[in-house]
Amino acid sequence: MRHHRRSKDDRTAGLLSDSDRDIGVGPPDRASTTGNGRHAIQVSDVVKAYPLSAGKVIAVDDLSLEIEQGEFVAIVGRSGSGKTTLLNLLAGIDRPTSGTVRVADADLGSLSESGLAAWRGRSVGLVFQFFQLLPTLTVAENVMLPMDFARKIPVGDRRDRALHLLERMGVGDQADKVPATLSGGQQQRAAIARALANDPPILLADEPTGNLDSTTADAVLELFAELNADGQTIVVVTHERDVRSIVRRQVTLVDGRVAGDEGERAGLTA
Amino acid sequence: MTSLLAVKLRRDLRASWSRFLMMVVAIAVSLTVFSAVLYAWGASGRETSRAYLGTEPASATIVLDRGIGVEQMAAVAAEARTRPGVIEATGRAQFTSEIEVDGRVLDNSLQVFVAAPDDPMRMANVEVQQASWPPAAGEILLDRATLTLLDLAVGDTMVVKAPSGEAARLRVAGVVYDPSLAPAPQEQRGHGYLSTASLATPGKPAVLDQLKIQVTDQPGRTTPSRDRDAITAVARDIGERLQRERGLAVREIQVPEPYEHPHQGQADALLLALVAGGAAALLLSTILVANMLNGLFTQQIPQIGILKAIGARSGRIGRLYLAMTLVVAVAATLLALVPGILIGRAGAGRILGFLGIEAVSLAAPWWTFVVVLAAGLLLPALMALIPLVRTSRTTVRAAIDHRGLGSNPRRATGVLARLGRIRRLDRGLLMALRNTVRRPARFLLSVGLLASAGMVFVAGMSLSAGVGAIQEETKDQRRWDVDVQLARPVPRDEVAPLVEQVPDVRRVEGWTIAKTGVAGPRQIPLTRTYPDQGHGGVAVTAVPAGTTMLTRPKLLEGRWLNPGEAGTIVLNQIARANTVPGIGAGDTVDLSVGGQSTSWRVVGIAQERGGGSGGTYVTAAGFADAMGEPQRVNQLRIATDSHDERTREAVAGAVDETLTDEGIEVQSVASVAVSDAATEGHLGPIILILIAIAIAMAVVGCIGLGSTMSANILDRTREFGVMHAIGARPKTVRRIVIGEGVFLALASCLVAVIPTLALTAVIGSGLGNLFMDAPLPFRVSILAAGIWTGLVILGAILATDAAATRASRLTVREALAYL
Repeated sequence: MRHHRRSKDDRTAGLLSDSDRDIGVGPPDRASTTGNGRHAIQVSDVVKAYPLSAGKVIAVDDLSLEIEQGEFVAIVGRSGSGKTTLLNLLAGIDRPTSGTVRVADADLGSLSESGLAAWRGRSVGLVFQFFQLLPTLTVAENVMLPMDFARKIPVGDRRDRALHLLERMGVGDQADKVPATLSGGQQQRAAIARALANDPPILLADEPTGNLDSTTADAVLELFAELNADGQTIVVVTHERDVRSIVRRQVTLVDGRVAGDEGERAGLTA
Repeated sequence: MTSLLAVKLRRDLRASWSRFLMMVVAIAVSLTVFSAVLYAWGASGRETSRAYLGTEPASATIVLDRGIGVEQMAAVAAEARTRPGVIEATGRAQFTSEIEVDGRVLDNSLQVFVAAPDDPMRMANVEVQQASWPPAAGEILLDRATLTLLDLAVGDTMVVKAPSGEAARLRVAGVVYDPSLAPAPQEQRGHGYLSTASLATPGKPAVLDQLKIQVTDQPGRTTPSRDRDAITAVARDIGERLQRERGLAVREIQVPEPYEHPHQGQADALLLALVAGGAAALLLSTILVANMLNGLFTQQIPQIGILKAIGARSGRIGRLYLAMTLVVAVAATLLALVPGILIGRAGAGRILGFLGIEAVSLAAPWWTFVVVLAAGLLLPALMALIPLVRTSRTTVRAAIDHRGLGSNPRRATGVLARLGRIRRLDRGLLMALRNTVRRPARFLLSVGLLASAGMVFVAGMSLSAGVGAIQEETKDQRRWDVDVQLARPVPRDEVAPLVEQVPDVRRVEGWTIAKTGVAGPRQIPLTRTYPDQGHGGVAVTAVPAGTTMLTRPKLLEGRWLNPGEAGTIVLNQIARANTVPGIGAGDTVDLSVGGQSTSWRVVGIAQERGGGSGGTYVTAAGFADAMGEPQRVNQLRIATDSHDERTREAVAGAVDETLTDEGIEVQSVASVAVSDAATEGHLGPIILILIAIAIAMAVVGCIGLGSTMSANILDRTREFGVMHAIGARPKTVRRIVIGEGVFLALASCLVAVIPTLALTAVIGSGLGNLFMDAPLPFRVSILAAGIWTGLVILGAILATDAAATRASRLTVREALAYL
């Protein structure tokens, strides 16, 4: 099913309500978060090599990529194609061997580890398989935790915002439970809510539906579509076959290089 | 730290409450030991000083060769008070006597301290309880421990032999407290106090032979000097004046260490050893806790990755785990507070009892609390600092890659990988070996911790074996059964045949042992003797020809005496240090015996333990030659046919009766068991303390082992899930994990071997020199080594099995979902 882009008013009306705006939930102010107003992500001639005992492995091979603000991009490819490595580079988890990575107007190579952590809290929402919820905090507390780090949201508004995000993700009734009592899908929704806690301009997701059944996986992808409709820039690494019908652009990696770039931006049809 | 991180901290503590409890207990146990010892040291040191100095001890005692009348001594004292630096001066006397109660001669002797009735007791005083000073004629005051030792009570009557030879019948009129002396049970000798009025008989007035002085080195002040050299100079001046102007012969000048109780040095050394042991236990436990926290932090690495992914910086994470560490430290410190105080008070009471001190207060000094708080709160944080900083700096990348391996697993398993090529090597065993070393830092820390604990345990037990060996050595060297002290020297040929006829007497030797002063040529002998005349005193032993009852001591310099040799002397290292430091073989010394000063050439310096002989040896022939009289003996050493106490006591009684019937006056006669008891009285507390430290180490070591194995298993919960998923049965997993624990335990035992030997030698030398002026015999307790090896292997199996059983019961799903 192809997703039709809605008007700006429709996007605003999509997931948001008046109460959303009251607690600071609104379409990301892109002008204030990206300097050039166009490229949310800029990857230039990036190489990522891993030294192994048997020799060097090139995970990302001289890759260049630009993603505009508001795009919904899927990165696909076989195992070992470099898609997770690319996403890690975008999240500041890995540093390129050469080349530059600019995300949300920050040159990630110039940031220290501490700086990267702070940047992530403000500028990027991560939905990774690895990044599960902290087991000893409740779901709502997990969502509030990034707000404590970034300090963008006023203290008094944090819980309300967390509850609201959870409600929007369909797990509002699980707010005060610990993650161990939630199903995989519920945890993933809660993780998405946490990723949105500080209203980041960019959402990065690595196999967000990897552990979910098809129905739940469809629901999660639909969620992403709705967020994108609100203007969120989303980059997803996924194996889902039907993802092309949801995203507007699909970048295919083979052996660490872009082998295909299909979608509206590239002007190519599916 | 944000409020949510504080919530996480609280819940993490609750989730791993058993581990935190183990950490808290480990620190609390060792902190309790450390704090108790520190409190005891502080309190006992303060009380000992207070009590000892409260007696206004004399700075020096000038001992005359012959006593003088009370009035003459008063004049001497008055003149001494006019000398520069002298604050106070008084005349006293002292003697040791056999005691007879209800016609029965007691096994223990009585040391009697005599003062004039009008002595104001401003110096070298005692606290009189249940009576007043001076006791009337015919009365004696005893200290409380003496009443117990001699089984006497106030009102009982005893007979003692005065220095004049006359028997004095005395009623026990009251009790005194004299903290300036070692307690009666330690020396197996009672303490009594009376005035000269009880010793005077018609025609034989009482005499005093000691001039006690207090010296200051600050003109116009009344604070006694702490400078032994200054005191010695004043005392020598007075002594020489007495000789020159009054024609009084001075036998020796006694200047003990200023401001120090006779056993102060030993008590301090003992307590310092305890403090060091407690500190070692505390250090071990903090290393253990750092190890456990390291394990905990490592377990949290995935969560650290999440936190950093959502915006937390390293500093914030570091503060979180520092708070976790401080929670443990605070809880342990609070837990140790009351037990430490209680045990410290009890310990201080025991130590003060050992010293014969009645405490005014057992409260620990304030500074000890500061030290304990600092140790309890800061040490764990300091020890955990490195793993804390390292873990908080974990990058997101590292968190993703975290699989429970070390930072460079290839290096750790390179050797073991080669082992894997050996055919028929059990894969499970190999896996256990690899797993043991795959985290080198944790392996080394765990092995080091266990090895340290084992080292101290075995060394402690070995040292106590060494101390026990001294007792055995002393018993072996004492090749006789009964000691007889004669009141006056008699010809050997006169007394030996009489004793040889007593039934059950196998052999008798006559010896001469006389108190002496040793000095450089033409100097007044100077010693460090304390008022009890036991500590720091010197005696000359005239060795009879053909003796079989002397074990020649080890020689540090020169040679032993040749049979029948005259004019030569051997000193032991203690006598040399106390009287003529720096003297060596070939030098000349003067010996003062019975007022007679004789010159001797030093031929050898021996090494002996303190509390042994009097310190100097000459041949009996040489001694008689120097004294200008035929050989006479004042001591008999009797070997009996059988060596049981019954025979010894029977022989002692028979010998006393035989000699008395023949008109030979006996001062004391007793089985050697009395001397053995004195030795045990000194060494017993040391042995107890060493064992206590060893046990504390064992406790800490076992907790460490249990925690290490638990941490090792918790870290690899997901791994166990994978193993189960690919077909490993629970018992296979358990066998591998138990194998790891046993390897760890065995590795620690091997690592500990050489350090244990070294530690035993070093501490044995230190302790021995402190307490007995010679190193302890080197002994290694194989039993302790066996106990420790068995304990640590058993502990490894038990600790590992419990945790491995838990891990083996996890379902695959639970294990793989473990975070």
